[in-house]
Amino acid sequence: MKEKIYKIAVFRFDPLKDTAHRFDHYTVPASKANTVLDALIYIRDYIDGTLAFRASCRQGRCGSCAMHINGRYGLACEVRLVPGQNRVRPLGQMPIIKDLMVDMERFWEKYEAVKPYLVRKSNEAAQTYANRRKIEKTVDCILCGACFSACMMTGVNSGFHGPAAFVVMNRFLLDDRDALRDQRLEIVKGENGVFRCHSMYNCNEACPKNIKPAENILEIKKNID
Amino acid sequence: MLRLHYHNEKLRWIFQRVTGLQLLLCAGIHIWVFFFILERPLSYETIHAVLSHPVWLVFYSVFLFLGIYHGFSGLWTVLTDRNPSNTVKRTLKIILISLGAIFMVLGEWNLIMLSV
Repeated sequence: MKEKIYKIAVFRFDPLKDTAHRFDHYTVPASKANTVLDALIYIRDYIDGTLAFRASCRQGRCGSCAMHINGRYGLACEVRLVPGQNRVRPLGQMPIIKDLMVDMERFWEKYEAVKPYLVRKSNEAAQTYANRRKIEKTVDCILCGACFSACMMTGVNSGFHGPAAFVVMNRFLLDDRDALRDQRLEIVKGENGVFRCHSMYNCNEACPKNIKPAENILEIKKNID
Repeated sequence: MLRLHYHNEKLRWIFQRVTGLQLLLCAGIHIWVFFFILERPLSYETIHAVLSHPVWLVFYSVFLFLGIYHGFSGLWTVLTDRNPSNTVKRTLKIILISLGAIFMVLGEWNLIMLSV
């Protein structure tokens, strides 16, 4: 495929050295099939070895390379370079470790808080096909953190669990085999729980797997007495 | 210690939406009556005649309550979005409920004065 020169502005910030962030501008040779992650890897390997970012599977499965690309959240390994200027920023609402890497501690804390595991009602763990179909819309979540970053509420309210945690919770609420239904609902029925969601649908826009966290949140709301 | 706490967030959430829809309905009726039914130009006598009817007095009292509840409940939600301390929340609740009660009394007083 014919290669062209693509321009990319990359967010740079090292909290140990810098007082403010900046955008470094690079030009990379790439074809129209190349993704933003390809460009970042090229920059790191051939232009600036100090550029920090996370990436792993390169096929949209691990969620490591979620970032803010050209005005939207997405996976760098799935978003293709656009002609003209590309602009890459790290995930929002989380402290920056370096450049495009963020500290996802709070995201994982909130994830753990909703008990993201199955506690079986009995040793028999048979699941009906119909029930498996019901949870299908939630199991695709790769925990990339894009929805958490796009959510206005996670940014302002430290007690709010965030869309990803709610999606995972709904996955277990929908599961017939789960024994923790009441305990799970108790976690999110409070003042900073699921009713704090303003239904702005930013999470739906951000989700690279098209899971629609806002609709999962609405389902949880319906389940609460 | 003063405890003004909604024990059921779901009820508050539902009531906020229900009052929003009812407000739309009330506002629609109000606009329809004042712009298309009553003779123009509007005068004090016309308004007095409308509010003299008990049905309209009750209608505007309900309209007033819905507006005040919806507005102050919404304000509470926005002001507590940042998860302030319990002291701030308690103070906010006292202020908002007091303001709401004052507005309700003032509004109701005006409605009654216009109706007699």
